[in-house]
Amino acid sequence: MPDTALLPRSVLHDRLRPGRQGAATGPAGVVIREKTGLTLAAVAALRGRDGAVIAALTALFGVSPPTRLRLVRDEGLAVIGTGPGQWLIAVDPMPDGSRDLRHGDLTTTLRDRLGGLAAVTDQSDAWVVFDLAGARVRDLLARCVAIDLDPRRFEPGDVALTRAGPLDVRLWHGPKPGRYTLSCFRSYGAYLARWLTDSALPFGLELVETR
Amino acid sequence: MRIPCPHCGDRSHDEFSYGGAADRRRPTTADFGPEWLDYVYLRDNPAGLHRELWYHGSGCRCWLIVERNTLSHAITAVHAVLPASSPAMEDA
Repeated sequence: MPDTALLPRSVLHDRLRPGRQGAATGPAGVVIREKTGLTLAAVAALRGRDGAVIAALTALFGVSPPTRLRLVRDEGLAVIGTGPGQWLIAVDPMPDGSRDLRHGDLTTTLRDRLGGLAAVTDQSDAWVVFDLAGARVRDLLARCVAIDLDPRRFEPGDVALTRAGPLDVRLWHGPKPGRYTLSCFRSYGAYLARWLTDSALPFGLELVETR
Repeated sequence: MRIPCPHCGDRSHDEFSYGGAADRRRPTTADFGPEWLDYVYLRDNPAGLHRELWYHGSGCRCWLIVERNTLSHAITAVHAVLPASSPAMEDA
């Protein structure tokens, strides 16, 4: 349960200047936007309970959780495969920025449905999540992660758990082709943001202001 | 060296931690003696095929058994220690 006495704040706040930066001709090659206000919960099936967990998640969300490193999306909700028998559930905030409560308190709802089948932990505010877009976004990612980013190999909907320099990161493509999402633990968020923005300057960067 | 993780695909070895030979077995005897000495301190240094454990800590967080030729670093087989449907977690 998120602590309601604490106000979440962007890791970019007071650290990085928003706006158009770097190579100034033409449109920005890379647009970086931090996704704030997400509700996140991690689900790890107990040994041998994967099938039951998949059935319960399907019944709850109406989408079938991926059984490999893929993501499925439905109406502001993403179910992201993060390893064998493991998923991250991400619920987008409401248009006004508040938490989407359509599944009640997400972690509590999941624990109720998955009692005895899976370990459920609240991950809201534990990750920083950056949306990356623009014509040069793959050039930017190639400076950060050592995986094959060719869309024939890393297709829309694919998820990679890998490293960006010293950081463990999660990267997924799409579902919209050419749009990527990169996340890491929040305490490393300012570092990752600085690296991304510095790396993006030669391509022309638009850093979108977040709260 | 790149290790083809069965969950994540081809990855640089710096995403993994080495876990030693895959087929060592803990001695069943409770008395400290040559078996324990061998288990705790002595390591083979094979020239050629080696079955070894690697932990994919920066990826799927699974233990893998990798068959590697120590002379060429050629990797001939990789599989997860636990079946793909089981995370490394005890039943509650």
